Amino acid sequence: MNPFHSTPSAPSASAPSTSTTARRTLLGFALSIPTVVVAGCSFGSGEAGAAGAGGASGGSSAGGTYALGLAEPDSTINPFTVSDWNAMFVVGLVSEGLITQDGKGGLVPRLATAWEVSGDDLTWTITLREGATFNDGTAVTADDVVATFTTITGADSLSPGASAFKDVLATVAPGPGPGTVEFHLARPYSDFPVLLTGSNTTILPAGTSEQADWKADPVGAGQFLLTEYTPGQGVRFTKNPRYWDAGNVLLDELHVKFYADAQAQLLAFQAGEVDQVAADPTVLRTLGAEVKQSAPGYTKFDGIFLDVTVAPFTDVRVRQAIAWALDRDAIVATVYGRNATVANDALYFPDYAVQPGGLTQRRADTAKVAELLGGRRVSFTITTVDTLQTLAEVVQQQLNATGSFDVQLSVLPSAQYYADGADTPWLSAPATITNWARRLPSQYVSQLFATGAAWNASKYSNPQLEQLSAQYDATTDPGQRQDLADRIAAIEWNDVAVVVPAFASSRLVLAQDVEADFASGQDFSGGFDFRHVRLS
Amino acid sequence: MSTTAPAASSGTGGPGGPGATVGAAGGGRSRRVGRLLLTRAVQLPVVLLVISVLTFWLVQVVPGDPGRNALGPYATAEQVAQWNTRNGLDGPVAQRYLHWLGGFLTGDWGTSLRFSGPVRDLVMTRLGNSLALGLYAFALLVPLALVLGVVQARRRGQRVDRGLTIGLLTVSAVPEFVTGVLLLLVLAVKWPLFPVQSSPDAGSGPLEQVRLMTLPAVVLAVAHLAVLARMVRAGTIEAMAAPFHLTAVLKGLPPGRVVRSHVLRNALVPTLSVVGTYLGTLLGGAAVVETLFSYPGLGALLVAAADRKDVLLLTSGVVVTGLVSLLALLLTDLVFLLVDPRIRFGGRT
Repeated sequence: MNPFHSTPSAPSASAPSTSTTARRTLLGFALSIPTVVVAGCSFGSGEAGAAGAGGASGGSSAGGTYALGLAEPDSTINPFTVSDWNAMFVVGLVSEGLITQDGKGGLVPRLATAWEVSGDDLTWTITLREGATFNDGTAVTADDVVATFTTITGADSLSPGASAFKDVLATVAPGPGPGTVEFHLARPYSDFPVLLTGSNTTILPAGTSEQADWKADPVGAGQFLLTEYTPGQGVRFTKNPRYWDAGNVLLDELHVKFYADAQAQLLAFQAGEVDQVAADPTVLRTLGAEVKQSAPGYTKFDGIFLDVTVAPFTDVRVRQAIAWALDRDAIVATVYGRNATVANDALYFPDYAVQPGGLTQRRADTAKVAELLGGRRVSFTITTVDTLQTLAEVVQQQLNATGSFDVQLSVLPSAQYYADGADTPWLSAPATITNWARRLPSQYVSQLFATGAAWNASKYSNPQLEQLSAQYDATTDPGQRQDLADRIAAIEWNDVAVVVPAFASSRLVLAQDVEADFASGQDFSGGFDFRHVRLS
Repeated sequence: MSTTAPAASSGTGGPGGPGATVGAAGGGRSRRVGRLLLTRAVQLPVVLLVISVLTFWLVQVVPGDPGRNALGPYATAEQVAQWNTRNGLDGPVAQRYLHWLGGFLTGDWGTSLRFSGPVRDLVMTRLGNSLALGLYAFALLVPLALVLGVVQARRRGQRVDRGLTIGLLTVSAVPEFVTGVLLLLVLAVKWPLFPVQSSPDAGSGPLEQVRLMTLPAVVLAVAHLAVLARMVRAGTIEAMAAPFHLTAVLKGLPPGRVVRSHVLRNALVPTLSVVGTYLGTLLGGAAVVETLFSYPGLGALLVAAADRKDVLLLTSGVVVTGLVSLLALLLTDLVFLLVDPRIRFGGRT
């Protein structure tokens, strides 16, 4: 019983006494509160907006106002430390990197116009775009680039992007010519420019702190200005007139609205409140197949990691049997709604410049599974995070359907799955399903398979693989790269430290009045490029 | 000071509270109000202190790490530890709690880990929004429940009564998020009269703000409507069975006046306890409804804070929510005293 809430006993019947002025006043006051407060309530700080409900398009000039939905960002809004996609989106609209990638993985010059490697393959020289400025009017200089990468790779850096440069980038310094920057490498790395397209690498003015509340002073050299950020509600952007390619940024404004989940975003799209929605299976079923869609862009893979030091996965035949038991086409269709490509347990995304050859594409083969297991029935538990529960359930059903496996699931919330400590489930459970963003093939080797690597959930170790990967990084000869890629992929395919059923891509459903497509998927490596996009 | 009768036992669904007694009407009302306020003034800080301790401690023991939440899975354990240190999250829990408490009492509520903004501004802004939504829902709920309850009581046992009973119980059995989604599908998607996202722009006028809040307010009101209407119905039936009602009828008073002046007031006394409880609930933020409609209220803010172990934001928000709920209950008790002067609170008589 709440001590503050005293309920009186039922009154005995008696005639009510005449109301007093005091009682009338208090009761009248109580009943008038709703009207007063509702009429006078304030909904947070920010400028007066013009967006009304029920329509995303607006604005008076040619480009209009583009609206989209995001989940509330999970991380601190600072380009150095952003770690979730929603926060990256906010940052990526306002700031810009040296290089980005197009929808097919090709390199696109942004704040850099050229990049070349020295004869010894240890120094990359980047030429900055002449005349590029930050949105506060100051020029983007070599010192800013140096300061940005020094912050990212410093000993006390908090940036999640630091891992991409570990053991690769030694120092960064202004180059010999005006507007040039030199990246001195610790070892030859032929794909180094691709690392400059990764998250946390947008260029910020020298002196910017990774501890700062960046959104309070959102300086960057990107396509838009952040004009209003309201926690729990959304963000408003206006076109950056100082952007180096401002002529091709046709939108006047861009509004981001925060929604609780994908269902809410779908409803908002149906109601015309936003101009795009992620084309997941539910969305496509609801809206029908005849909707306008953007070109896909590869984003991630969801890998089944098997700890090779723990039974039954110490036996490579068990790992191979798991890989042969999966119906990958069904996974692509059911789990990813066809927004994925069948993979073959080698970590080369389909849009990567070098594609390994000579491998048999694995398909569901029950006879092969039985042959590899020699009639044994193998039992184990797959541990995963709740966001990957659907994939985990499909994998469980497919494995158990072979009759050779007895698979149980342990699905954990994100905070528990990625918890810190030596016994963190995602790195210590014998079989896990974890998603990894698109990276370079050699990054996967160094971060997932290298001996003692921090994220080596498979506890896999193969010096030959690491050696081949280092050779691959060091060479720019196309023939050598192809040969090394074939050998690396063959090892990954044969040893199966991780089963990779599919490479997932993202696709958007666009409102009918959205003209032009995006140059790449909306992701960090694509630079959140809204050039040429407009509303009719 | 008047003497009071022994406390009546509380019946099912009816009134009866700790220390509440019924006595003869008479003077001393202001003294009773003063005593009630004094008692609450002592109890309230103690309860809020306990709430804050529990909240602060519970955040520490649930899984998850603020640094990991902020930096994501690809940050190293060393980076996560460093982030926690920089944000003052690595000291003893008791020391950090006392530091928060001192700041809270002096107006410095700290900085939100998730939103990188002052906790106080976040909480107070969201509280204002939740108050607005809660009062709007309350303004919809109470009159409707009164009307329905009185209609049911006056048509007791008839088809209207049975139909309303079935309808109200059916509606109350449907979860808020289902009701909300259905309303969104019909009134935001099929006929776009209301927005899917109920987040207003800062420049929205009062009418636009009311329009934005309508769907979530309706969902909140509907969720509580059945119980409140049943309480009104039961109270009205009891009052209509009383001798004073028969006397009023025999005097030839018009039916409307009989209900307004004689029945309703007596019928409302037991209903007030439920109304008070609902008022506190509505004003403290409704997490499910706010989240569903993307309404920037305190409930949704606390969900976000709990999800990311934002300890300063969560503790401050919970304390403020608790304070609002307790004040709403205190207001209810004061209204009790004014409506029914026979009521006593506390152990003394």
